[in-house]
Amino acid sequence: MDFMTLTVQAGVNGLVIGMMYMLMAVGFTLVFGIMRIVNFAHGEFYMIGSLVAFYTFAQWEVPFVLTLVLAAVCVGLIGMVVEWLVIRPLRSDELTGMIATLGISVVLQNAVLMFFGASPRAIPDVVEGSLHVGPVVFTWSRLLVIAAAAVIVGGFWLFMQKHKLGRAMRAVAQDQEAALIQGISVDRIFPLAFGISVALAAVAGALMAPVFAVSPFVGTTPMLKAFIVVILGGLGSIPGAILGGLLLGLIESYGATMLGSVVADILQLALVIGILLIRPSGLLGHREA
Amino acid sequence: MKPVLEVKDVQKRFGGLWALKNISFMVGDAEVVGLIGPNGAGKTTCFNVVSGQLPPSSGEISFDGQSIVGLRPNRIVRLGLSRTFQATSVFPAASVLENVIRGAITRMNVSFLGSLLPTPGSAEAMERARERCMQLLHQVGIAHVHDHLAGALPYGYQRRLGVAIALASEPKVIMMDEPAAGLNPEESAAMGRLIRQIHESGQASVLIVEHDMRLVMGICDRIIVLDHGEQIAAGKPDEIKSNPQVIEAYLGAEAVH
Amino acid sequence: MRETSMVLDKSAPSDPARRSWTPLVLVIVACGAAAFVPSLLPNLFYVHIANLTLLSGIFALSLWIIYSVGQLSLGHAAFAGLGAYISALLALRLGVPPLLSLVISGLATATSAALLGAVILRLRGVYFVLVTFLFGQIFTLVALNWSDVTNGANGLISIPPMALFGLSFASRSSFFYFAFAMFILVLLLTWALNRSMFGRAFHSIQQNIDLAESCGIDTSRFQIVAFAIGSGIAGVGGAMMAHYIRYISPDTFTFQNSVAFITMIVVGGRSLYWGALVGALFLTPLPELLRDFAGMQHILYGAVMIVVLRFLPGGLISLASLVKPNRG
Repeated sequence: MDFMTLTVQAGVNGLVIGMMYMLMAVGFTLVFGIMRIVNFAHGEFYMIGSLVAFYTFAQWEVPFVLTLVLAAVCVGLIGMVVEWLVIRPLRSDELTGMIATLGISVVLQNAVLMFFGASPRAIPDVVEGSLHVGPVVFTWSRLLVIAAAAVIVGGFWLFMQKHKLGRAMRAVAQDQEAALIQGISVDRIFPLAFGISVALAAVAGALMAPVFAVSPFVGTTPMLKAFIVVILGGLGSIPGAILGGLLLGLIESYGATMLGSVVADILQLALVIGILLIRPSGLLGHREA
Repeated sequence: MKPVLEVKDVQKRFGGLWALKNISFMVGDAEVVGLIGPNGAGKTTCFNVVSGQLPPSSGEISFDGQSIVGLRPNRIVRLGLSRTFQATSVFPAASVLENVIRGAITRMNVSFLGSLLPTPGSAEAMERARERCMQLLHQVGIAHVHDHLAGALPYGYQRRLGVAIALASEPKVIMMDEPAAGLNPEESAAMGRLIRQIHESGQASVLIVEHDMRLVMGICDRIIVLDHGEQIAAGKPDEIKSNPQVIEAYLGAEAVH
Repeated sequence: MRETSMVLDKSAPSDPARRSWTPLVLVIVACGAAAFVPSLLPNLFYVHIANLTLLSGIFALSLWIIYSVGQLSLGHAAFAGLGAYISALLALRLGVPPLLSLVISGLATATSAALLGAVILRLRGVYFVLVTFLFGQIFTLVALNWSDVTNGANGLISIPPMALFGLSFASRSSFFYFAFAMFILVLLLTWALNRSMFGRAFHSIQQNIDLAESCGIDTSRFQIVAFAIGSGIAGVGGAMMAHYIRYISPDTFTFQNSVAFITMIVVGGRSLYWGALVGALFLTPLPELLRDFAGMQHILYGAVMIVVLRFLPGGLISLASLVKPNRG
């Protein structure tokens, strides 16, 4: 393979994982921005999303579009219940809320481990074949991930900008007190935000299920990456998450091609700590007073 | 009068916005100075810049003849410039007396490593600190609740405790951020008396940042007025009261509300 | 953070001003009782659990020290792992006697925590937690991939047992005495710290960091000190573990372990260091006894933690004050 092909290929791979990171990070940062909670269980919702894909798409052969919808709806509902049951009573302080999500993560992961087993299971590609452009080969399944993720993030962005509830969420994120004065009910916004956040993670999980296999542990890496992305982009910043996700995906893909994946991973983590030192609020984040 | 705290040409910019422009004032050896202005005038920013919470974009701040620009707040406190907070600010899970002792932590004659192994010397130093802190509680009038949890005190008492904590570090100048905010007229008047008394007993000079004009007029020797980040007037309360620019700034602000 | 601490410490009756010597008396009594533990336990499996509990106690106490300046470390297991690898490598490669390697690993771990802390403690709250989490990930990645030194996923085997002046602590029963002595040492250190001016500064920072700074307390310095002490002790604990189990791998010190330590201090009660002890004592034996139900132990950890957070925010130790109302 020549240099050009390698570059384009790495670019597409980078876009695929970048899109996944973006979906993860957008939801993660949404919950932080609105509820001031770092959700350590975010990866588990990704994992449940990929599980939904395993059962509906691979086992029951439901159309993939419906699989995505099912993953979003099921996990979104689970998320709202979790918010109501566990997070709402504990969100009064940052550390306690964070510890609670650690507990949720452990419970969900091990519950799945108990009935699903530890061994990863593959699921088939959504579409077969590939697109040939000169010497470069794009598999349709990867292009599908990119397209689907772009559509979903686009939809989410529109929702946040145009819809009444989306605007209410942004208002709460900016200034909770002011939002309360305007009559926005935090008790309605929080479960919704949490539900949407984990639904996005579930969609990411379902989309990526054919790319990676399905197991109780698949959520860990995406969550780690979501952390990195939001640190890069600034905790609570949605544009930061979108940009940071894409950027990290590309950096990672090119880094792995050139340096090997382990070195790239370690460098990535070191880079994040470095960025935190120079700009504690992230590249696009606002300075916290 | 010998200036203790001197602020010279201080500017503060947030992004492209000037929060403070060319602020210059001083606090002398034994006086009560008020820093007033309508909402959004830059009072709190000014307060935070002087106390070391925020670095100034340019300008010079000196205390006791020594520059304090760039020093962390804890260093500034140790030099003798302490502050109170706008909202209630106490150590909620500690007793009232313990709160004041924590305020005195830098003035106690107890070494940190030495305190790991209790010695008679450190116990004695501790006892002295405790006595002095009790006196401060008497001064602010809440000695009778010294063994209560600070977090459980009524609001007015917490504000007084805040003053005692700030006094415990033996400041030359104490800066108070809206000492009367949230207090009823009676409590507010009592706070005013306390401030006068701190000053008259020679304990410390006082710099008050306050929105409430009445309190400031009643107790300050001199007043500095900020509006939109700029210093628009400085002088004795009577001069300030009749200054057309000040009246305009306040009336303008009222009209907006 | 301010409101935060109010909620956190609602259950805190502790006031360092009222310093009690009771813990010291209890410790002496415990020492006497400990002498008989190995011979009283029905079999070696129980001795093993007792040893693990003591190690957990060390980890939980050291994490509590960090928590007492208002910080949460998600990299606690990684620091334990760092200490374990340093001590094991010193013993294996250079033949350093285990006791010396224990001391060196503690100092090295504390130093690296201080260095990391000096850089990251400017980051308050969430950012600090995230960075400790990332540090844990870096540790695992390096341990897995720096095969020349760490032997990768296979880990290090045949680590020499603990020995002290020719006295070997190779057996489970004999290690118990060593672990117990170290545990008491850590407990005494925590106790002394807590009742000293350090404790006063630490609690001030935890309850209201801005006010603490205005009291003239150098909050960043004390946070670094607490982070270094806590992580250094974790390093010693990890090293003890290495010389006890005599095998370590990247899997020995994972994120899950860090979460488990946090669970201990939460379940035991965050407001007092006794809480960390109670948590370790309660939670370490539990999963070992539930070994037959694979996976169940972790679910239990998570569930117990959530339930305690929800219904007993002061942790198990707050049950005591329910029974015996506090004088404060």
